[in-house]
Amino acid sequence: MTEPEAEDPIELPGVNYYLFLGFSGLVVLFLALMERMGTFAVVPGLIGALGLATFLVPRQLGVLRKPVYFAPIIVLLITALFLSLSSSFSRRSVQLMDVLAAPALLAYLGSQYRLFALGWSAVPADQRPRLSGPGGDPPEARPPHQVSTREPLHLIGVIAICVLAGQVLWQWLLLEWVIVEPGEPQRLGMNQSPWHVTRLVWTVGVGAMVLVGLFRVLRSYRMSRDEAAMIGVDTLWTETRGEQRRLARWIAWRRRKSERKLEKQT
Amino acid sequence: MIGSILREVAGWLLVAIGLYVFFLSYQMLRDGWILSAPPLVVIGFFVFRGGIHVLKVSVAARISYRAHRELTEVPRRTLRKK
Repeated sequence: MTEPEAEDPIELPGVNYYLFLGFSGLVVLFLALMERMGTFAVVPGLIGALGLATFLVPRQLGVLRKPVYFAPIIVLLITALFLSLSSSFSRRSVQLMDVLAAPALLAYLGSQYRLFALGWSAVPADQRPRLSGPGGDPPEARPPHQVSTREPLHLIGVIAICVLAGQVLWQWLLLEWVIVEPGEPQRLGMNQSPWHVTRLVWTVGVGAMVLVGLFRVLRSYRMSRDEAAMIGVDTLWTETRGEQRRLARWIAWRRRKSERKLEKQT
Repeated sequence: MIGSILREVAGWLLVAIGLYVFFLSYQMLRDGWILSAPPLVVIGFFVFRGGIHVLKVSVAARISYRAHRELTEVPRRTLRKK
């Protein structure tokens, strides 16, 4: 027997886990940033709390229950600003501030967007008027029965893997980087930091291209018969459209000529 | 069928060449050839994407051929059994 679905998303057990995870992330983020930024570190915490607090408001106070979509973006920008103000690109060691701030921020962002998806929609709905309604698309919330209590655990696992991968990537970027020796004149007028950024751009850009390409290959190997037939027809058309057009024109010309001949005879 | 297999092998070969070109561009970047590395990335991108396209078409051809063979051979088998 299945449990009846909760009408209000606040009543879902998963929401409490996400709220706990999100608020814990904000507290850890505040502690991590406080080391360098002092009292200012409370700013991202307060804005993030504003975004999460929507899910603490009961249904009776419906006016206050609105998604604060700008909150995670502002928190991300402010945290990036604070971190860039307080760190340098060329350091080699793993700093405690990064190791704390990165998972905390990820925990907040992950929880916040999953809560948005449960209550309204993960991203703001398109408000432009449509033929179906002047108010635009209605928000499409995630069906509550899809939310399992184990989801937050998976999110924590993903966050841990991402943080570890990020640290490994960062160390790899800084590894054996001897483009500009201390005694050597600067090449192209650059010092170490722009070279690091160039390498980062290469890694992210080419890495994304390779990943997307390999996923495309994987998708090709998983295609159905209908998809394969469609790709075959599409490729045939792309590769032979010039010849097909020419042949069709000749056939049409021949048909019209024979029709005219028939008309003259009759 | 042989044609699609050959195409598939060629596709994987092009993908491998594209990855090698990316690796070369990375080596150039590491050695300080900052202006020579980006054109190589562009070349690698075209080779890599070309390889993926050839792979996609060859896999589609193989699946379509297999579907066609199953469609034509199953009725024959059932006829023989009768």
